[in-house]
Amino acid sequence: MKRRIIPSLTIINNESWITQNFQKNIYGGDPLNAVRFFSEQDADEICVSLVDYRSLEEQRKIIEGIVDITSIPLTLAASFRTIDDPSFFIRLGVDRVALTISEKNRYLILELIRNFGAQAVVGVIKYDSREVDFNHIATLQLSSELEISENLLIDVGRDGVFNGFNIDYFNKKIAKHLEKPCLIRGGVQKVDEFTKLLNNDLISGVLSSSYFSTINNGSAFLLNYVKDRV
Amino acid sequence: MKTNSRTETNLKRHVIGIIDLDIGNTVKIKTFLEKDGYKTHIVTPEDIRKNIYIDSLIIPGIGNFGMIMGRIREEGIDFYVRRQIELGNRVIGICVGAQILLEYSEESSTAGLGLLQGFNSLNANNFSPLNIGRQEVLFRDLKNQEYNSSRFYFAHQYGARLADDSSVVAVTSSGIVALFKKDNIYGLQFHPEKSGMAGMNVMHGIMDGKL
Repeated sequence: MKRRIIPSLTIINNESWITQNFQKNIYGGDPLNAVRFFSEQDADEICVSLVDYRSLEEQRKIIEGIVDITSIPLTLAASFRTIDDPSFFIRLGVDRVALTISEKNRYLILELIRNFGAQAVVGVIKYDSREVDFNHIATLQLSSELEISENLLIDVGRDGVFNGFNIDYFNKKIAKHLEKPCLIRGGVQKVDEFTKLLNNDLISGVLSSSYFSTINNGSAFLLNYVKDRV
Repeated sequence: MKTNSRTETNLKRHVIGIIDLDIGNTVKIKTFLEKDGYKTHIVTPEDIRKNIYIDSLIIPGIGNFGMIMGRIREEGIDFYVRRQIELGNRVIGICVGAQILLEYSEESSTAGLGLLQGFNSLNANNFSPLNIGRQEVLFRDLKNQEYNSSRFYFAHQYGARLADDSSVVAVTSSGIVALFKKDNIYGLQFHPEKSGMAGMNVMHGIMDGKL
């Protein structure tokens, strides 16, 4: 499998934001500019997360804009409630949709796979490597049962804090339960780390939001991509 | 890198129909082609009933094999596709749109169109059948070497196994069939609409009859 480096954008009210532990946000500029930049850099893919309190209907315009300017593969993560929203976005040009693996989403995931094929669905599992007893085994089992083709494991505890992906936790607590390679996100600190992580057979791709932006004075700017250095 | 050498006259001659399966990425393919000057028309069920004329036909990707075939049979699209082939028009399947050109798939018990002999089976990767990402492909014919070293976007778990190996035009480094062809029927396992200039160059090659 091709191993990918995937810039991730979190969009709140049509603006890009850099998150830390999925809570504290730093303004990251116009998402259309960011998408245009990563497209021009020929990034492997891009992942856009819609974190918004408005309805998906109201957010369609920003996704339409993103789809229109990008020619690289696009994954969209959002709180989809019915099959209609992901269907609309895939029809528009989104390649894959990402949603949380949970019993609540069981039938939506099954319906998505039945309609669009397993390759179009990414299962999201959030965990916090600061917590010892987090039970992700059941979630991984549910992913396997639903025949999800690829999971995205997000370490919320390391998100946006630049202290390195917690590979020890991954190896000790997660790796033995994985049946197939997964995408990971959370804490990537240096360019060398991408190389090391992507040499791991259980990691199919590394996502990062904050790594691809330079943060200064509370704002994120100077986007960069690491393709040529990995 | 191949460059666009087509004339404006050639562009105007082509009306590329894109089958509206309601579950594929029809809009993205339309905008992708139109940005390069092609004329497109989204072929609706009503158009199928009227047997509307087009020059080339695209069957878009992203979908489950059984779901797509069910839609195709419901709307009589299978007859429309065969009609285009009889007329000598190009029929281009993308991703699952390419897979349905074959006889069947392990993804579903539903039969495919059977326009080429062969079937689709789960990719035989070490850990996962999922083949995803942008990859270089190898075009077998020396005259097509100009397309090599370009990256194309793949996202699939099932891949084509063709009875006639001479139909295979290009493969990935792991041997997955990337592009196959028989007469005026083309199957693209990758997504040209998500492969940037490389994807557009392949579309040029097909439309100009060079591939």
